[in-house]
Amino acid sequence: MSNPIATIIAFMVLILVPGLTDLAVFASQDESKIYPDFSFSCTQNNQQFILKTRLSYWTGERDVPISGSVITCYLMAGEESRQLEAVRTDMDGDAVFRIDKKSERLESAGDIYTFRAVFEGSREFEMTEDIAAVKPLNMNLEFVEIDSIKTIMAEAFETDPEGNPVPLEDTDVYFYVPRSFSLLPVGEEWFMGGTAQVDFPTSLPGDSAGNLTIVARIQDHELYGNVEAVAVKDWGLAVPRVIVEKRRGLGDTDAPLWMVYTLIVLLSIVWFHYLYVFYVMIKIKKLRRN
Amino acid sequence: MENNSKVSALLARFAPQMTRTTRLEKVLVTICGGTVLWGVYALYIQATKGHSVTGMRDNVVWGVYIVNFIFFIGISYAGALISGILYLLRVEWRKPIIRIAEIITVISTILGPLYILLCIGRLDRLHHLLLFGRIQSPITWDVIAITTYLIGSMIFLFLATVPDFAILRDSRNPMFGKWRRRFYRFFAIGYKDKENQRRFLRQGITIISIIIIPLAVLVHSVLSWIFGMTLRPGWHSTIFAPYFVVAAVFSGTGVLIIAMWAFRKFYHLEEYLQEKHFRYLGILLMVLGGLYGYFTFSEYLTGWYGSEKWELHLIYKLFDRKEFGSMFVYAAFIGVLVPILIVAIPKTRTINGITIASVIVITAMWVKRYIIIIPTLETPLLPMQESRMEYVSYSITWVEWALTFSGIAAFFLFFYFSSKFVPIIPVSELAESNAEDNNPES
Repeated sequence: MSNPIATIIAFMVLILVPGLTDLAVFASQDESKIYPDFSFSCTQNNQQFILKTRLSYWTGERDVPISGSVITCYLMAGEESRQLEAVRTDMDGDAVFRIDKKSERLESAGDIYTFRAVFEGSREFEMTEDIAAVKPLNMNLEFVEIDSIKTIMAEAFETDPEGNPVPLEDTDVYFYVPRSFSLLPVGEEWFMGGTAQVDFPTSLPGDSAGNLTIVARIQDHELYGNVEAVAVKDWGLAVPRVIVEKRRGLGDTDAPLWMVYTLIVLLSIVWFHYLYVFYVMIKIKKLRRN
Repeated sequence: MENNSKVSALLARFAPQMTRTTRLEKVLVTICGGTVLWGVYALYIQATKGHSVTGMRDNVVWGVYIVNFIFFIGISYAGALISGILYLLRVEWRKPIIRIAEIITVISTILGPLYILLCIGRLDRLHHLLLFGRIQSPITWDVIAITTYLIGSMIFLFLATVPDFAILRDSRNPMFGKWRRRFYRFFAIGYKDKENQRRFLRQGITIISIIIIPLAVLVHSVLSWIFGMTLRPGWHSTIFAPYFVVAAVFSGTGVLIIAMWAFRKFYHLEEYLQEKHFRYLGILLMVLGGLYGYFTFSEYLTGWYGSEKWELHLIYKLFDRKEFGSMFVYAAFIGVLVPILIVAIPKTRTINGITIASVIVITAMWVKRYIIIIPTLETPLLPMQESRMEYVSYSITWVEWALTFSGIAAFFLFFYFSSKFVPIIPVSELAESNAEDNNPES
């Protein structure tokens, strides 16, 4: 008869050893996990906070985006961490959160909003997170002509707890016009007493009505992050729309006309005769009664 | 339609072949059915594992499926041209053979394009061809031409069979059961051989037989332009369209002769499929062989004489015994000269001799399509990036062989089942001939 203690020990070993093995495998997997690169930035305009995250990892040769991973965005309100949204990263590893400034979710969070973006990790990647703190700022663009010089005037202010506007001081602002491939810088100024103004060049081509999109930006500010204001103004040179003559050819979407006509004529000839033969068949069937 | 005694006698002759199944037929149907099932299994393997189970790779993107496609479309010429032309010329001896020719046309025009479907990697996007097809593309021309040709061939076969359906419908032969009579009643479209009906029917057949001839030429020309319009060595040729047309009639005639031989042999149709039919078609085969040989010589002589780098590279591959030499010799020399000699020499110009010549012709034509497609694809204008042997040289896998043989087996099965529904020799035409023979005024 076997010893009951030995039986229990053997049983325990049998139970534990697979568990220990799993633990060891888990630990080794854990060690082999990759630490991803994670960036988090905030851009604000008068309506929204636009929070952007990028998740990627470095292979040793190049940066590879991690797509399809869930990034969760929280708002830190004192001790409380309030979940705002969860978004999956796209093919470029980007996840974008758009939070309305008037959203109820931002209520009672203080003057400065602290956002926290978290990637919980996966089987291959370690968990990672980042924080961005921003203070709301409003920026508006106005367009005036001073002594017949076209001038862009930017106004920026924050709001104090009583709701009064506080003009922005001592901050750089950059003005751009979007072109086909990038933003064209058109001026740079310094906010004094909440306003900054630059002369606008008169030689920029716009659309057929002369409209141009003008962007004013405060970049990487320690308190406001990125702030952006966009407006459209007809200060560009009106460029008549170029009507490109549609070509027909072998390499084009539409076939040469002779080819289209030939096909239509050939098919029409054949199908006309087919239809006539169908008519003949019907006639044969009808004639059976005569 | 009143069946006269001639018609009744003819029906009595063909009814057993249509209604009874001999042991040999059962064996052949089992073998063909098994081969088709083997093909279905191969298709399942291909559908589940992808095209890597075939020999097709990055460079040789077309393989034996396209060879089979061209081969089947080629043999469809048997019905289109031979029966079309012979009908228009009112050639008397055509009567026993036209039904076989027309059935060959319809079956091969149905089977051929199926190989294109086997070739397509993304079948789920097939409808894109209709939605986004550009009419500048020879592929689009091909789809339009083959569809139109198939419909025309089916109408031609149907119209030519209507009088036989009417005869079978009115037959009192007890061998034809109820369901058969219902089938014949439906397809006879009320034809009672009245004067007006006969006039309309002849009008319909004449129209289709005129239309089908240029259509058939166009179909094979378009097929050749899929190759001819590309700037590849061995393909970019101005004579490809007539070359393909002649090759198609050549192989179509060969298949027609073999089908005639098989029916004559197994159903003892010696009194209908006579030696003269084989002799006439044999002479046609010989003339076409000469024409085809002339085109082949002209094609390769021009390519070789031009000494263009890649063209020469391809021609040397075709002549190289270690590459395609033996295939080239078979397709360009044996497949042309031996059939011509067999028919030209009176001693070998027998039914069996002409049938052997036809077998040589159709196998040579299959090999010819192979050496049109594969060597060119193995000779890309840019150096191959992939050096693995299976990427450099194409070889047919068992999946492709299975689907090839199942196509041939399906052809036989279709043919066999067609012959069970309609007499393989047009009864109405023969009865008409007999009536004319007995009429001293005709």
